[in-house]
Amino acid sequence: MEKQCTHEHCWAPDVSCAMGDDYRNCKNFKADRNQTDTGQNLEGDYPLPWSGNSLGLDDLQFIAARSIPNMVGLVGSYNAGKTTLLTAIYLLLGQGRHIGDRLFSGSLTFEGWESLAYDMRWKAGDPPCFPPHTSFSSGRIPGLLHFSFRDKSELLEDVIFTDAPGEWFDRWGIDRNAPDAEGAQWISRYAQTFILFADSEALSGSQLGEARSKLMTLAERLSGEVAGRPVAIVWSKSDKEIQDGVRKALSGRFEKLFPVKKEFSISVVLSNGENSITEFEILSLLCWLVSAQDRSDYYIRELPIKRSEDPLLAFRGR
Amino acid sequence: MTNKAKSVLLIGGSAVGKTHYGGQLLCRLQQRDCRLRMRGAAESLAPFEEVLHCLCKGITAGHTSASYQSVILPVELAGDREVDLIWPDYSGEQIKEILEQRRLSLSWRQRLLESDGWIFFIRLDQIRSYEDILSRPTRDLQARSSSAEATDFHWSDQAKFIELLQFFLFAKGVGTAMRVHLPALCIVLSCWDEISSVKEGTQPHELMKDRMPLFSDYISSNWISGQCCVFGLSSLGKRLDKEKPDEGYLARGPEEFGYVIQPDGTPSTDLTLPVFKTIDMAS
Repeated sequence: MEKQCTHEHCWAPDVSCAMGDDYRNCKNFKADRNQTDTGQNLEGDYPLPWSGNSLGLDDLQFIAARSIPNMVGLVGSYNAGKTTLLTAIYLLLGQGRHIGDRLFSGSLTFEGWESLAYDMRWKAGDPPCFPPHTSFSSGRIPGLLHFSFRDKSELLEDVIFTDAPGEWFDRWGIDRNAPDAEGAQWISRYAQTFILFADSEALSGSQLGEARSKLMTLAERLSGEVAGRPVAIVWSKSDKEIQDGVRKALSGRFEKLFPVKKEFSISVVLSNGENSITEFEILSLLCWLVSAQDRSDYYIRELPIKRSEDPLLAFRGR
Repeated sequence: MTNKAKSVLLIGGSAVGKTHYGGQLLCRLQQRDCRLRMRGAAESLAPFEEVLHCLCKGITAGHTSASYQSVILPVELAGDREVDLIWPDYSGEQIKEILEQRRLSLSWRQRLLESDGWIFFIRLDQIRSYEDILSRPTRDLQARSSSAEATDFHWSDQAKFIELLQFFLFAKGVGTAMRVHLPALCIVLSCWDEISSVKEGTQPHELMKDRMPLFSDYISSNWISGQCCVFGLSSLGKRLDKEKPDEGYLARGPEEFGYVIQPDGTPSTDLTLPVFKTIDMAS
């Protein structure tokens, strides 16, 4: 998206003006004002401050004003099922499933969720499909998808999921400071909880050796960063059977690497005509992630906002 | 008791039955035997003119023009409370435009700021429902190529409704960190007689939860329970034709038709109840 305002934090006209309520009169706005008006009478119009697409850093400040969001970092190689899991979560909530005693209370990224969900819905003459691979770019921050929930204590909590291309993590596993893995580093720094994906399809196929090596490289890298933060190990595509020995050996390694961890097996397709959809397991995973954060000793003291040099804004101690 | 103007904002897209409800509501108010009744004559009833004319002939009214008009109806609640009900009338396309352009005109924002109660019209018989790979699993799933554009991409209706309420609450300056007290929210499931497979005695909020669970969760999560409610509504009581007059309407008049389903599932012919309840919650 081409930025039309010179103000660092302003994304007008897509969202409201960071300086006031009419971007057309703002000295920072550089685009041709006449061209920007899309034929509509925008006299005194009032735009939304969020676009509905996945959030950027400036949007994060908008959420951080009301709560400290729980950022869940999804970590896994290319094609490991990260985006599919996110889509399944949204579809389950859309069917009225709950995460423990939490009720869905909103989202600022419906455009993002709906574009994922659209692929996995049955439409007339158009069977569902997996969402497209998250395109690789050497961006510095991942796509951020948002939900808010209210629990029995009446508190509103914001949960943000990172949606990043698997290539970032493959690079990051090899080289922590790789220039095209800055986004993975960002996730490892700011996420409060993690999901590490173990791709059952890759671990049960002919490329087992390579898949296991990649996974362990990534797990080792992550373990050096988590500092006690909870890690959910997700055996994705669990309709594909991994040799018992392989899985046990990997589980044993994870046990040593991650002090706070739990394993989940997840699948969203039919296997041999049997229903292997793990709806309950997906909800259990979410439940564990949102409540594990409460039990974690680790606490993010810095929010990923751009003005982090200002200690008053950056510090969120308790 | 002092007079107090209460602005009730009617929210609803195209063809959800706002206009017919407005006409039938006015009939009931003028009859003065419902919970809400007129306490004098309104300055102007121009926006209701066409719909009243059509209903008296037993045919459906046409489309509301694009402009926004509002009528001030002096009403009194059973008891001794007097209020001025500000009844808006506008084309439902405005709601679609707000969602698509993600912008509000200043006049819409002003209406949101002034309103104490929102009546949100939803036609469940027009809601698109989808099966997905979790509710209807399949074995062979291919990945969509990232270069292939999704054809006919659109949001689910429940996501649209939630976004609209999020937008309106934001424009009104109402946060959801604490549950919402005002604006009071009355969801009206309109054209109740046209919703399929509804058993007698069904509570409207149960039906909403069944057909739009995410939207239902959003409401339950964000409003104080006594500050929101769900009604069923059949303004006309039966389907009318655009041209062929209905015998019953001609013989008995439109005021003899139409009903609401109250939040507890019991029917009532008092069509003023959703507005009465909204004013009551907003007071």
